[in-house]
Amino acid sequence: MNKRRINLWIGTVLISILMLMMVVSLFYTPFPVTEINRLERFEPPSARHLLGTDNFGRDVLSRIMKGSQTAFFVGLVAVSIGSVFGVLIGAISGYFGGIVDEIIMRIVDAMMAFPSILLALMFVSVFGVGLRNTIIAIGIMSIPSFARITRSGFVQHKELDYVKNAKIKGISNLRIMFRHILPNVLSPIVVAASMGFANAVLAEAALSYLGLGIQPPNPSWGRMLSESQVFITVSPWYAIAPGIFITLLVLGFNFLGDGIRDIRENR
Amino acid sequence: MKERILEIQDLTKHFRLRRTSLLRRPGSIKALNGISFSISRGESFGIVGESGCGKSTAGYSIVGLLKPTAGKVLFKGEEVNSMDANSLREFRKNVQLVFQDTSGSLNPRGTVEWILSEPLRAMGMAKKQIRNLVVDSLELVGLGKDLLGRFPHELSGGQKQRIGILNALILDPEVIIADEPVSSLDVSIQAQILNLMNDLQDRLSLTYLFISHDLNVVHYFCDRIAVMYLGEIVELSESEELYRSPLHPYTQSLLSAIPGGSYRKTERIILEGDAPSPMNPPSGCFFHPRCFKRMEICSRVKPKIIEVSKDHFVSCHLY
Amino acid sequence: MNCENEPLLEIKDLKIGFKTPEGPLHAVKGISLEVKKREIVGIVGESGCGKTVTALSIMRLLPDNSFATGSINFSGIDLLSLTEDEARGTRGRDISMIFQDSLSSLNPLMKVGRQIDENLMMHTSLDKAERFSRVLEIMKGIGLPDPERTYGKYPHELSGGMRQRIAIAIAIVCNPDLIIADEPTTALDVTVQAQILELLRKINRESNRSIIFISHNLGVIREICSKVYVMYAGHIVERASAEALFTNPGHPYTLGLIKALPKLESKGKELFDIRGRVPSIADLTQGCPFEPRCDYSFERCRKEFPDLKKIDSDHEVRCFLAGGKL
Repeated sequence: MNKRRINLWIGTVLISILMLMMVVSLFYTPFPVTEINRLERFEPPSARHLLGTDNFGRDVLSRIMKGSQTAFFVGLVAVSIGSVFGVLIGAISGYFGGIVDEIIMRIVDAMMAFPSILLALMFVSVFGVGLRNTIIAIGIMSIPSFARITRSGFVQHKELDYVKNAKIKGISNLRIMFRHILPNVLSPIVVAASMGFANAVLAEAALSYLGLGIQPPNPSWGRMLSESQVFITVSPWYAIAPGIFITLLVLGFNFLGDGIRDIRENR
Repeated sequence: MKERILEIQDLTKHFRLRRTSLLRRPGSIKALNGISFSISRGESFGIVGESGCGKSTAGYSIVGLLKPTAGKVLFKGEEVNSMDANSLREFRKNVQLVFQDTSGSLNPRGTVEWILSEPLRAMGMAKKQIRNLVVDSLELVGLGKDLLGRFPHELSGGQKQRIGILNALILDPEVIIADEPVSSLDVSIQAQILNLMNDLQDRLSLTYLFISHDLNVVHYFCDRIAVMYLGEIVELSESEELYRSPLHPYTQSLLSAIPGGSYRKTERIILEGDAPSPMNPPSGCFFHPRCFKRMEICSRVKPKIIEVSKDHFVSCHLY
Repeated sequence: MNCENEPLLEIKDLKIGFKTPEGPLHAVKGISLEVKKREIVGIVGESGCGKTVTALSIMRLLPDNSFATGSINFSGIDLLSLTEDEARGTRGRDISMIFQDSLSSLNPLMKVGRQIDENLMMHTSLDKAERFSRVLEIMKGIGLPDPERTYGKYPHELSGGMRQRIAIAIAIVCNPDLIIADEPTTALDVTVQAQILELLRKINRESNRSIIFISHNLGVIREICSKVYVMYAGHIVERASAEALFTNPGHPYTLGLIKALPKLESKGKELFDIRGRVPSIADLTQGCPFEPRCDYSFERCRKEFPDLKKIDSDHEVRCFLAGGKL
């Protein structure tokens, strides 16, 4: 039995560790995150600085820990925006069909035709950089996939007998959509949310790497990657650390998503 | 003269298909082609026919799930199409549907209590009242309170069917349209459900429209029966009369085909081929290509419904 | 050498169970039956009685977590002792099976003609042209109009009745001695059902093939079978000729089933209700499995398990009351 749950286990463990790190960082980091210490520049990993220091002598581990807050925060809010609006749009589109569905889906298709990073880039360029706009941009770019998944579930379920049954028993459309159908199509949406979290983290890293996302001095794994590129020959640990953590977080959510999908399928 | 609680006049339903080519007009599935009958209060009226004959479409159209292409549905003399919001609400409450084989008609994510409470909540009943009503009504269908917290997949076929029936009864309707209510059940459970439905009819003064493909069941349960073929009623009469002297060749072959031979009077009649598609019904009488008594006129002219003997109607050129 | 009287298929004390995390579940608890040449034998019972599992075990199609004891003797070979390769050789060639739902038992992505052809390809050494003509011949023989055109169709393009005919064609193309039909007409309209039953009768008459016909529909069983076994909770509770079963049922369960069916005479009366439910597969009891629902049961029924008792030539009943009037 447990063989099938392995995805879930790996995912949960990875994310739990990272979450733990994030929670701890809210109260404590080994060194102040923005403290510059010229004397300790580019130090390799040691007992004092577990992951070494960066070009400003800042402790890399502490920056990683603080960066995890950004990663989780961005992921959470962006996925929330994407899922709430995406599910709403998808539900209306799928349930009512007709011209409303056509219009909404064409817009969604158009959005999906662009590489989502490009869309986020465009948004940020127009509306300005920074944490808030980054989150909004990433949130908007994840709306289409939630809308698609939700719509497909609704299109399928609205023809089923239990929905027809609810209609003739006098239950309102709104209630049918959100109290009757939605619980039945939730499963792929949850999986998408997990994957969406991973994508959001990656997107934020990309935007920040390009300098368009989180601005200094707030630490972001993506920006740490870009900043460290120049110094890769001098202090490789500075570049590797954020990369590893991004990978771990993304992997964690991917495994989690797979794991949830696995248990649902096995039922 | 008993009150005519439900009257169906020329009910027609054509489903338009999507346009597949720019040049040709999209075809349509002629599911119902003008059926007419009326049901008296307290009666059990049966519609019997094979797949594709339109019987389920008829049920759905009457109850309002499908919008008829043409024809009228009258409830207690009032036409449903021209009802105001209040009368429509009354109609919805009073004419309910029990779906085919409840596995699909119960929300898989809802408990039995939730499923039964929803229609009452939609009506605006108070929470406490709902709970009491739901708990008390379980007794109507012979189920215990322990089922309230269960999910549909935790119930047996017979239990699901009972919940499906109760789900329809919870609004206290006058008419129940039952679409294949016992088709997927084992013989012993089928008997239980049929007995239950009869019992409920006596206790609650219900009127039934019983739709099924199973002739034995329809004959047993119903007072009058309409036989449907390709969207039309080909014969309508009192059930004993139908089985004693079936007039339409299709009815005769249906009876002859019942396995076990209990209704077979003459040689086994085996029809040729399959029923034609409702997209392209034959010319003239729809049944003529498979009819073992067809005449020349049958392929050209559509027969009208005539009353051959008291309350026995048939649509066939033989009469 | 097979004498005329020797049975084609003989099942002795077959027990089938499944290993589950909660322990073994016994679906079939020791049944014995036999099918002679040219016989159409019916197995009737409601869902959960073990009839489908029995059919699958003859075909060696049970899942990996199953175990079976006893013997299934087919023309001198014990099917249970065959290796998987040997079983695959027998399957489709000497014994074949038709399932209830033709839509799911046929490959949706393969043309139907090819599916019939595939069976021939696996079990014979005919070349392509020979196979093609044989397939068309079979298709014509089972009443498929325009076999050449139908050959190239996909299952979803055909009606339920035609699909079931294709399934029958696949089953008979290699001339098996035994065909197992598991609820072959349950999903079909009654007029189509009549056609398919007629076809099966024709196959039995003209090619001397034996058929095991499994159904929960007593009417169909009566229509087509000469001998009937009634199963309940993994046991055989009655064996009789079809006529005898209906005119003189020996087991209270059989009687209950017959009484529960709506018939001409039932009108206006309550249908007989065999109270209670079929026991779950996990229920184990020492006595007669039908006892809790039986109107005729007494003390002994609860404690002892009745044996099959002969009440007539060719009529056996598993009941302590066998032979008395019910």
